[in-house]
Amino acid sequence: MSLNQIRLQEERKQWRKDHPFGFYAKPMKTADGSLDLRQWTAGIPGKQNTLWANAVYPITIEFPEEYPSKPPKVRFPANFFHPNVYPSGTVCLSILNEEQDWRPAITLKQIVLGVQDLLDTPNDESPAQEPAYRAYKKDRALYEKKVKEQAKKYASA
Amino acid sequence: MSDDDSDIFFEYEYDQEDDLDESSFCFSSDGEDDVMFDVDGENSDTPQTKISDTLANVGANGTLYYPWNVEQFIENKLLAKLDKLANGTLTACSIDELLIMLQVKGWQEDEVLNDYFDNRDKLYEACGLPVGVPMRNTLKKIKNYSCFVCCEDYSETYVYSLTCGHTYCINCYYSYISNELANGGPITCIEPDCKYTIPYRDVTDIFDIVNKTNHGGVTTIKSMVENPLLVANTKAMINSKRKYKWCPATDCNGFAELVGNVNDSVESLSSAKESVDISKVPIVTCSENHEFCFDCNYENHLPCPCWIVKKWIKKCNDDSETANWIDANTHGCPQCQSAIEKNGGCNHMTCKKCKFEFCWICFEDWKKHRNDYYSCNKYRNERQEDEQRKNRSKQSLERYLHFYKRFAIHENSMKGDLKTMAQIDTYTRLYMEDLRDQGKKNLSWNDIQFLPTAMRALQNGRKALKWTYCFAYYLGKSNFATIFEGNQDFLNKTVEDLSEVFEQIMSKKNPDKVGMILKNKTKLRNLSELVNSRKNMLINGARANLDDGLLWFDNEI
Repeated sequence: MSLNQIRLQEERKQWRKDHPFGFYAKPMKTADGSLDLRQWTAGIPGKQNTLWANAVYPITIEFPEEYPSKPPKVRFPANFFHPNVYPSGTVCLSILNEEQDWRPAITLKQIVLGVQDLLDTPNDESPAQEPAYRAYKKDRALYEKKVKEQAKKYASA
Repeated sequence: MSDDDSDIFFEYEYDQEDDLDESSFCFSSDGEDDVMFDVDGENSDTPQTKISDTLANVGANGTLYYPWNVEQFIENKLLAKLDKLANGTLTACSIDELLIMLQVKGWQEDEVLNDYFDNRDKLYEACGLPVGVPMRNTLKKIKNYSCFVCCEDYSETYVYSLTCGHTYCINCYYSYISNELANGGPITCIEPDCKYTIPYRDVTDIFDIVNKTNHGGVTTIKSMVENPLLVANTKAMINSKRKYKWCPATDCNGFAELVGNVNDSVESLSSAKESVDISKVPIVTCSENHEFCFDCNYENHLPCPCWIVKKWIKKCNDDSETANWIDANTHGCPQCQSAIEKNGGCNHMTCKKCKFEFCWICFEDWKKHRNDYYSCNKYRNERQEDEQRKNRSKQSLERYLHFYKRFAIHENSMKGDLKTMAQIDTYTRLYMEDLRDQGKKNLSWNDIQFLPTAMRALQNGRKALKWTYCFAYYLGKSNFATIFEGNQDFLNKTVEDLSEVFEQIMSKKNPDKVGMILKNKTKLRNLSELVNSRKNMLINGARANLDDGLLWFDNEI
């Protein structure tokens, strides 16, 4: 079994044993019905008392062959409205960048918590899309409106 | 480039100028053939061939540069600084600490010194070195270990930890370091938010153990100059500074460092866009003696100026010639306009796409030809115009193909030559070892030195020849262009002669290869001399004639 499979099984075990409230994360199923540990879907709840509250934002997590030496890729749906999310949905976060702060010891739990943190505290230094970044910097009212609209779209039941 | 970069090389530049005035200076200004290193890399670790620190090479046109490879650079530049600090001012620090500090400070030893005496603890913290406690890095073998990163349960494995005590298995550290090397910077503990830096010698140890277990007992890293961290750091440094350029030759880890008028030559060349002054082309060599242009980072492309090279390469890569070919050799279907190439004799064409039947001669509906086929031979003026246009593009295509074919043939021949020469090289080496083993009279290395020289002459000759076809393609018509082509022929012939001698040596029909080499010694020497002088004549002639306006590049082409 390859290196990443053992680690990913362990991540799954740890997640099932204990995970932060309001989050979910599970491996996807392949065509033949077996689990594909390299592809996960997960949900990130917006923090209470923020613009992002009362919604769970879906992400996909893709683990590369070289995981855990290389970081997984985390994606929101395409065109997700956030200054640090690329138009393709890929999240721009330093702990997910192998040239920056990725370390093999970072766990799934730390990743999803990191993404949750990012939601309400965008990083000015690394804008990844124009509409959200521009609104965030220039027109805060518009930014808040858009974020709230998006929160409604992903509102938790 | 920052100012402090140039500071380091101050002393060399001045030394250099002194040397230039003295007759003892051993590189003539047009001495691009002067040899500093042997073609074979192995010889370059003998002390005699090492670069003297105070002597820069002078390229074809007075460019001052140092030829390097990564190992020499580490040895002469980086480790020299380490020695200076370790044996002089900072004897209190360990080698590991010094190396990390130097790397963090971009190998500016003065900055290390300043920061050290200014605030030692701050510097240590910035470098990820333990403050107030001794370095407690451990690499040890333990039993029954389960690693948090790979989640593997080992019955026995090596584990590594820094002063912080965060322990992970050696395999995880190995792949983590291997990945981080791509960034070229200091590498910290695997634990997120832990800032301790992994020292150089620990990297060597980790790599050694993993290589030993995975690749069968061979210690792979012998000395400091092969330390993966130092190599990665050096590469990152070379990539990031403008005065260094990698050798463009395949699989070569050599590079050149431009000294002296870095800004002058680079700026003036790129600003003088369509200059015909090829005396400014900064040709340098790497440590493996490959010649290349520091400006456009192509192989030595004399007699062509850089902008012609760019134009030519673009043309060769472009589809423009494909378009010309289609225009010259196909006709559009009169109904659907798909391009059709006629591949048979019959002029009754049926379009594959729209099934339209037409006549290839007059492009009218074939139905009109039922009764009198030849009615389409009536002369029409507009058609003539169409034909003329076709002829023009056909001619231009043929012209391009003529030069491109020759350019490409020599390019391929260079590869073929390289193969033959590599064979000869191995052969001579084996033969000499054989003789030594038998205790017979040794064929001295000097006796065989004419070989690498001849090989280099062949390669460089062919390279120059190759680029003369690019040159000739853009050349405007004149009597001097004809003279140039004459010189080109001379060079061509000599190069082929030389290549043939090499081929003969390696020919299957010839069992005594070494005998043949010795027999052809004079011939090889003479031919390589001739190649060199004809090459120089061609290039110098082109340079002079371009200067005087006797040769020019045709902008229409």
